Amino acid sequence: MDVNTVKELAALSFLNFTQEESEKAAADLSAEVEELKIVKDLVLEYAPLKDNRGAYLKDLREDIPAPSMPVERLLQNAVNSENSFVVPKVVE
Amino acid sequence: MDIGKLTLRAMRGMLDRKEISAPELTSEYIKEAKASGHFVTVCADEAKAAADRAQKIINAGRATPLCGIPVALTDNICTEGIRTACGSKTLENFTPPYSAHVADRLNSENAVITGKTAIEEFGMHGSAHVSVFTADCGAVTLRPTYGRVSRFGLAAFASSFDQIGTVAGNAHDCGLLLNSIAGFDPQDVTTNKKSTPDFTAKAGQTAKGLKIALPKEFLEDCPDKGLINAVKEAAEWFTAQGAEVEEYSLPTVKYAYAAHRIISSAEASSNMARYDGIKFGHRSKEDGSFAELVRASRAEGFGFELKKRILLGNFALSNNNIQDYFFKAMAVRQKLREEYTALFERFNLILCGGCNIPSILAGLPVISTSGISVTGNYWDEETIIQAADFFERGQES
Repeated sequence: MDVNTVKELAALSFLNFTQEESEKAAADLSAEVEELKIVKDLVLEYAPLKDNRGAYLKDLREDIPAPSMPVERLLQNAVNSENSFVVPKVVE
Repeated sequence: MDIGKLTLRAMRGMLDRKEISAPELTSEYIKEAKASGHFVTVCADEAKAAADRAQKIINAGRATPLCGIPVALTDNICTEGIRTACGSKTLENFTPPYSAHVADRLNSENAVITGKTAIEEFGMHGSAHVSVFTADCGAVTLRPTYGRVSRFGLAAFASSFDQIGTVAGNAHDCGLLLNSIAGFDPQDVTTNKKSTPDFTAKAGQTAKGLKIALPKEFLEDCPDKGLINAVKEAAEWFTAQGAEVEEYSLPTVKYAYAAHRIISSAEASSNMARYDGIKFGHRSKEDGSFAELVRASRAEGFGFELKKRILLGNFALSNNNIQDYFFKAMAVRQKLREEYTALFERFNLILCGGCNIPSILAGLPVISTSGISVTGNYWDEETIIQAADFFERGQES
């Protein structure tokens, strides 16, 4: 994996990397991808319907309204939650 | 008192015989926790209040197995009102407004939650545990079948591998802890509705009659010769105790490490997408467009290793690679599950060493103790606890 691929993936991942970090990530991930290539040529097909058969998607709990969590508690991690919370100023 | 050497059963006995009170035991544990360096948060006040409540129940003669027992949770398990940072700057100031299902279960049993133990960022290598002591060495780790314990309130990293397990001084204590946290939870659809047995029911039995598989691929390919020797010695010991041990081939195991890395990275890249500095996580003070703010927040909030995992995950999920990497890895997992299913038609257990990624990939229960790991069939935690407990007792004598 070269530095340009790292930069492309970083952009897709919404991540910033310095040039030095990009080079280090490229070196590390190249070695790793080399080891992961072992699965590429296997003659195997994934069968999605075989997975998650244990999940109880047809057996959901009753849709009964329950008391909600207090607003103050829900907002306790929001920035400046004095009767409101702050969103970042974004200028596009 | 050396709290790290006390088993859960020993603590239970001391509490019930009034040789020590729950507040005294908790106080000792808190001292140990502070000195250990393993805790990122020690909840001394909350623990004292919980210990006082537990003592009243003990005095009334109504103690359940964990009543008054100090426990710790890894820092990726949400605890209402107690900081849960997941070892990450992006959540360094996060205090959950609710508790994880396992924390609620422990509280309902009047266990004393003493704090949160350190993990690598988001438990990248699958660490999510309820532990009963803080000692470094001699710790026994039990990872139950995927779906045995609710993940509600566990910070998601690699969702199809995320599983809360138990850590204690021996296999029996791991089972006691599992008794308290296992079971169906409607808040996690992957938890199983199977009835929850007493996981310690077979502890104390011998290994006579157990059929144990020894994976050929591990013996041939593991680079750690010391580990191979430890497993071979354990196999000889189990044979001498009346178990039937036989080598068995699991051809797909050699692809398990790659498949695990690919799937877990892909799932992590997806789960980490929520930490954008707006909905969740650290927010950068840098001005700029929406995209610049999100990039800066994530760059500041995540460590380098986590960022690489996200890149790797998005590499495996990208249009050019998804068939060759992600779906091939998913196919490997399915094939491996088939091989394990065939194996467990003939055997009760698999004896191995190390962290046992193939078992984790397949979602099987595995216990690690005294240098070996024992894997069991789906939902058969009792038998791995039986074998591990018997092995531990054999090592002691």
